[in-house]
Amino acid sequence: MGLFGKLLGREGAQPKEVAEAPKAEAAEVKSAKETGQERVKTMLESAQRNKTKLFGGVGTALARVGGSLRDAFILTIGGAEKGGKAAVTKIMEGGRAAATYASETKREAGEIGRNVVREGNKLDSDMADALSDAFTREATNLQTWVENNVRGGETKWTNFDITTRQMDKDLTELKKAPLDALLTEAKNNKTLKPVATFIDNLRRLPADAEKAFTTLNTSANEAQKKFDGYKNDARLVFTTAAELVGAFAELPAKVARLEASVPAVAKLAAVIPESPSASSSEAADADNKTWKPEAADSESETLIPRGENEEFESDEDVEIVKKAQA
Amino acid sequence: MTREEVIKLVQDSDLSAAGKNTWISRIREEGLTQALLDDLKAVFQIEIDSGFEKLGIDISDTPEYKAQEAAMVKDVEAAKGDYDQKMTAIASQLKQAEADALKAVDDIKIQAVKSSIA
Repeated sequence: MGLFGKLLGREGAQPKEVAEAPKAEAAEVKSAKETGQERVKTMLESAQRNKTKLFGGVGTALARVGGSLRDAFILTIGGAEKGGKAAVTKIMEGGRAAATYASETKREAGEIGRNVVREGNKLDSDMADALSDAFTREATNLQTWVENNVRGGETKWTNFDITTRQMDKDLTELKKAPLDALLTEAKNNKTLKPVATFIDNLRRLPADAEKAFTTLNTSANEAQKKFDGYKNDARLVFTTAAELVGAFAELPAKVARLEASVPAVAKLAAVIPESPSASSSEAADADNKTWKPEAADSESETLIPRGENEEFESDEDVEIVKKAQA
Repeated sequence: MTREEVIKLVQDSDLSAAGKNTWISRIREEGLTQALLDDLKAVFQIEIDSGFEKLGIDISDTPEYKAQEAAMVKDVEAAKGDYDQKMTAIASQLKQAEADALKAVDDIKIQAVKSSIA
């Protein structure tokens, strides 16, 4: 056990590792049967996972620094004989808030991640079951099954997408949670300047990641739009020929509906998007104001206090703080 | 187009009743955000693709289709490569920022220990 370990009374008080960078997703293997659309979908899903990993890395980094900072302040209070105790206590509260915030971020990301996985599994399972049922039916019923179930499948995908979007929304709101107490103190303290820089980075880097993700989506949408435009135009040429053939009585009506749908997509492409709704950002602000640090989670790796009377882990800690507050 | 006009597009579409309700709720809740418009366009396109497929109109085996599809994938791959590079840089900055912060905290600990010994 090293000097710090002896002084702190515990091994490993000195974090040995810094944040694990989210590793780039392993190169996606392109299957021979995979269509271009599927390939694009795989790439975008991989990008989404990469971004989620980064957010998790931010929470972990904050937990490590917050925990270490708390240890440092306990040491400082124990060692300080003259003045500054109140200020140190105040800074420590900031450190504790930061560590709690980190814990919340990690817990929330984990919970939502599990929801996404659960939804995904449910989706796969439902689709697999339905598909299995379909293949056991007579071939003449297949068309009916497709018509009834493809739509159901889309609804499930929509629900899955909504869950994924909710994850983004929740994490965005969590990022706004108050680190201000620690940041203000750190900025006023020369020694803690790198900690202030760290907190600034924690706010900037996820925003940078969001921006990169948005840029990727914009590029992907643009490429898909071009391809969809080509497909729609090319197929409409074919429908004209098909109408002449008149193989099916209902064909002209179906073609008419499809022809009406294509401009609808073009119309949507021309809509000027609105900013994210004001009501949701107000709600996020309100959440920030009511955010309670004592809502810490037991899964946290950090030394998170659980309540007013349980601020510190050991009796020794409590004694140190009592002395500091005296 | 206004929200109500987009809602009408959804109502007039071939989406299922449940799908329409989900989309109308989203439009009312989120507004016409870029993400929502992109998702809605994708769903409409799926409907169109499925409609043409049911009509037996398949152009996917033509050289032109394959070239257009390859161009789309190439564009997205380039964008994804750029994204991966940015994310690697961001992760590296996070790692460095954490290392700097931990070093600053270590210095505080050293000072605290020195004070307690002195």
